[in-house]
Amino acid sequence: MSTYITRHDRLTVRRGGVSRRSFLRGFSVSALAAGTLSFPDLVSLQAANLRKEGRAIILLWMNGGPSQLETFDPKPGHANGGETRAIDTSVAGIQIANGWERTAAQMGDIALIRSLTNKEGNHQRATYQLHTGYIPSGSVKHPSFAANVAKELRPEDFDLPSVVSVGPTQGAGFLGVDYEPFVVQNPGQLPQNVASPVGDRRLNQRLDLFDRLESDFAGRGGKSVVENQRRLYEKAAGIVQSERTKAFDISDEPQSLRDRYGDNNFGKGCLLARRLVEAGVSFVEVRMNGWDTHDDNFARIGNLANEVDPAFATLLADLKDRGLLDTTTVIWTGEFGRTPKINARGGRDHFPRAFNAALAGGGIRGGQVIGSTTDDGSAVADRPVSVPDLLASLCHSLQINPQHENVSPLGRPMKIVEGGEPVAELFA
Amino acid sequence: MMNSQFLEGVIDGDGRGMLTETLRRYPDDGDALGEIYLRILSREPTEQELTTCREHIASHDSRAVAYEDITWCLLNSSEFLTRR
Repeated sequence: MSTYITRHDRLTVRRGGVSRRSFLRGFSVSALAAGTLSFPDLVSLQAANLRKEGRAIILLWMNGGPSQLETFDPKPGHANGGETRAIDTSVAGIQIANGWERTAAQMGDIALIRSLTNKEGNHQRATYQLHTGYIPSGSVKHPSFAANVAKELRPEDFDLPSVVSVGPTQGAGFLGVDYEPFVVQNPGQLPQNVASPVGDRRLNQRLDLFDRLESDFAGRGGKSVVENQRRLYEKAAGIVQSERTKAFDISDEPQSLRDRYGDNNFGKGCLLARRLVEAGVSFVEVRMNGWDTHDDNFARIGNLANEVDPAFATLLADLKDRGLLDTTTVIWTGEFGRTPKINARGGRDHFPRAFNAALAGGGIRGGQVIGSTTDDGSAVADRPVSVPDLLASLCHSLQINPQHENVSPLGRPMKIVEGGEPVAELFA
Repeated sequence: MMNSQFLEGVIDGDGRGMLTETLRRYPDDGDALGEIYLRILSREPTEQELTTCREHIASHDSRAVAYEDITWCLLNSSEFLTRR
């Protein structure tokens, strides 16, 4: 019995629930296609799809490499800890750095990984690796993890982009234009040029003519270019004509909630992320720049935390209030950590050997810390977690098979995540 | 390109732009289409394209509107995107 039998006849599921018509249709079609399956088999197959389909992930990307010592792994008892203090959280026994008071109050939902370890200490390479699961190589444009996730989770006939990023990010590589990220520069407003200046009817007429003229060019040898262009325009037209596009506009959110997220780019980005997940987007990335603190580390991170702490904490609380946290995985991390030893300019440099991440939602058990670093922070002391382990864990949380293979244009099968084991403690 | 107000201004067939001028100078559709194809794609249209465009023009009451659509399609086309 193939568990993928309902893959293309599956239910139309929105976060608001399952429509009765599509449930009946999905059910009868799959029963027809799989005449030999018993009733309980069918129910369990549909249940598996249902579980998977509501899922989404929000990546809070701390661009530049956030210092683990000024975030979730402070070392107040050691010279390497600098002026950073440790504060209590809502979970007894877990302390994090000062400046993260709001996040501390949400610790019951958060699992910290303090023992991430990697070898890449270069921004571009490490960012690529964390975003694709692979080390950059000359010969393959690896799809982003986001593109892989979207390919597995995206609802059929979904008319918004399934990957949205606030700030530029990694592309879909060989998975193609369907999974390219839609980049938002000014979170909170409708993206530029999503409204057609000529109205729906005339736009459709234009697209008809466009299709016919394009097929001539395709016939003269431009086939793949035309195919990509056509899909791009179809998607764009979908966005222009979709009701769901208003998810991009946060102006109808209550002012009190917008204040809690914070009236700044990152806060608006996090609120946008919640709205997009609600609308059915599979992967949302929100970037915060400025973490490359080679100098003046402490003051700079103080400012960053002023924006990130309330937004992160409010995002978790808001998702929870709406019953979305169970199906939405949230991860806070960056490309590497920073050197425990403070340099002459009061800064910290690149340090991939030990860094951290905060995870919540998507079946992850909060209120726990996984792994630890030594007292001086110079190495992982316990339970090292690699980048593939982290991504495999995210797959587990999203109910995606990390071993699923896509075939590159050169015919090489590539797993979503190569190697790595999900961190079982996250889900225990 | 698809939804830009700017582009809409440029391809206005009923004002003072390039398209209006072209339509005024070439009352014959074959000549006008040839001019537009030359300007945008640096080549003459094929027979097939002429037929497609003529059908489109015939289906519209307004010649200006039909030509705006054609110009929009050419400026958004794969060929325009990839031609140097």
